[in-house]
Amino acid sequence: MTAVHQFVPVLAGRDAIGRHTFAARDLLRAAGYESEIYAEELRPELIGQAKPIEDLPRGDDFWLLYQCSTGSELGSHLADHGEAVIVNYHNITPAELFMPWEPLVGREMLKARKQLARVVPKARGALAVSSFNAAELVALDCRHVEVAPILLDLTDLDEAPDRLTAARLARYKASGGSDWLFVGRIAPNKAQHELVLALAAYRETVDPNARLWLVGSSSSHHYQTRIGDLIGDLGLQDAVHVVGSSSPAELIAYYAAADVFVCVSDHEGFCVPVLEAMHRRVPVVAYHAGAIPETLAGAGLCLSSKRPLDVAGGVGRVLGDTSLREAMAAKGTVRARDLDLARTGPRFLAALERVMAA
Amino acid sequence: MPPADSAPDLDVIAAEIAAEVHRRRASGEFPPDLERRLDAAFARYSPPGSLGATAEGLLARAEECTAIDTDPPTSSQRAGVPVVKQGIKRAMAWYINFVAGQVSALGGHLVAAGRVLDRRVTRLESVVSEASDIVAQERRFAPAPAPDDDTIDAIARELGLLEGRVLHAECRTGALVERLAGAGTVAYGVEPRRELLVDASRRGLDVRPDDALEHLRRLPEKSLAAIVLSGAVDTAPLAQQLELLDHAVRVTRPEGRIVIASTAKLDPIVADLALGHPLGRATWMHLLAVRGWGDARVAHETPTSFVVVASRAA
Repeated sequence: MTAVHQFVPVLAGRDAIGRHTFAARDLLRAAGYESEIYAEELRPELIGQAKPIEDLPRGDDFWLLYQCSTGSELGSHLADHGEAVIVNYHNITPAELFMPWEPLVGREMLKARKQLARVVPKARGALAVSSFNAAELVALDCRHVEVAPILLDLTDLDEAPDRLTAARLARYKASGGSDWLFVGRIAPNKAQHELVLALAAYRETVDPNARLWLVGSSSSHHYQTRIGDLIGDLGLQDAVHVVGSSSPAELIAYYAAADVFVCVSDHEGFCVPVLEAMHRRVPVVAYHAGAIPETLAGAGLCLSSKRPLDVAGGVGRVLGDTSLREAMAAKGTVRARDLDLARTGPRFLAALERVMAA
Repeated sequence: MPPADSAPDLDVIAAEIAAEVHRRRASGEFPPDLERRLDAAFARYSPPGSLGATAEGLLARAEECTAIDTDPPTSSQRAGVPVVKQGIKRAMAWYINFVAGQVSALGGHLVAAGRVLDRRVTRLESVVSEASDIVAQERRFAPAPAPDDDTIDAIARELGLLEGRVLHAECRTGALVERLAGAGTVAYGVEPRRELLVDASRRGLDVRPDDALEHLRRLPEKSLAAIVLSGAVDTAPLAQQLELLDHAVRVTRPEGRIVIASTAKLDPIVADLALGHPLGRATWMHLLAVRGWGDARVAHETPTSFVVVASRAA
């Protein structure tokens, strides 16, 4: 078969899965494969770059690479394609992390995991973006799993920052205090509430002027509302900034102004922003959960506890020691370079071809 | 910019930070009640069952929910609808109140039962060290003595050059792994205290930060040529000592070796903070024999330690 088409339930241009899917298509085409992207939900601006799933050719003379991070209306039918399907697994958030906040979303996650359990044993094999994800697939009786890195062009982050955002952040910095940054959807599994608590501990024990910037759209209205209430209760309205979704240029401005990237997620299948922070030479302090230790690979500070004082202690140590900060930035740069598209592309393609040949 | 390979090991720094925060917390250097205040602040806004919730917090929420509101809103933007809603409310009130009273009573009884259970579990946790977070936290900083050179020599001699992988759990600073790997054996180690592994990692040894029991639980059946158990086998609670042995038997190939590197006398601090106590050599040999590893013998002995080596009886 010389065609490898991709299926992605929701195709958004700028998120990690979308960027990975487009990069995979370009790689496949460059390697001589015919390759198109088919999606159930397609943003209007992407029409022309991808096709609706209804246009997927009939027959079985092509491979179907299923970009899986959520459930899909077609998820169950993919099992019928069996041998021709290769799952590219980015992880599905465990439902129990969402259930107390958004039961309906939690139910969708349960459904997605059930679909995955049906598709994986019948598929030819799978690519996982981390060993952590690969272990989940092995547990589902996947026939052949390869760990293949996510495809990201980090040089996008070398563009100029948004001028207005940069100026606003510079005004804050001029008033003193360090800037913590976290990038990711506002979601219970990302545990932004614990970042707020850690910042409160940090302000009481290390730096009373420190700020926290939470960049990312919301996946849970209830959770975001509660975080807002928590910020108010702790009197941190001027210190914690929930800025929502940002443009690429705005995101670059946030990375440029950040003194430290802090992540206390309970579950991450890879965590692209950690890599982005490393590329931007921002030291990373993160809690040891999911694939985080693997993504850090010793280039960031990995904490075994995320009690507020432990996180504050970790950040305090990094920001209080210039040589350590510089050393972390250097290690992070090396790590990010190792996972840049120029290096990961060939590794991804080789892994995919091993699965096809298995 | 310093070169990346001259940078300090971040695992060591993470361990230092944990120890420093622990020390400051214990010495009262942090603002009083800071952590409790922060936990309480979020508990006020988190839904029942969310992360970090306490049993008492959940029960308090459940108790609030037992007060069922039987007075529904009746307003509406559409003319006439409020009148209809009020009519239904009045007509149904006797029935709704009858049912709500019973549901509230059920909820109240369940909350009361939950509180009784919580009190009992809390009491149990305070007397069963294994279940106590306070003890677990303290144990992380207990000393971690490594097997001495003579013991390492004896184990290396006993294992010889085996075909297949050899695991040392817990491997401390990786001395035995280094000895075995140097002799051509495919050896690796696991050790929960990652700070102990820093030098071994720098020397290129395959040592992994992992809990011995957790690691063994994940290993496939008959995947090792030999396993060496030390450290946790002396200090874990009896049930976990037996589970370690059961997994060792499960993951070792029939023609392989199981080695128990134990101590007859623990360091006084380790002994005080341990959840269990070292088992005697006769006990280890008995436990191995009843699991089908009858050919067990003491291969090395000093006044403070011994090594039991077992292979399957022919």
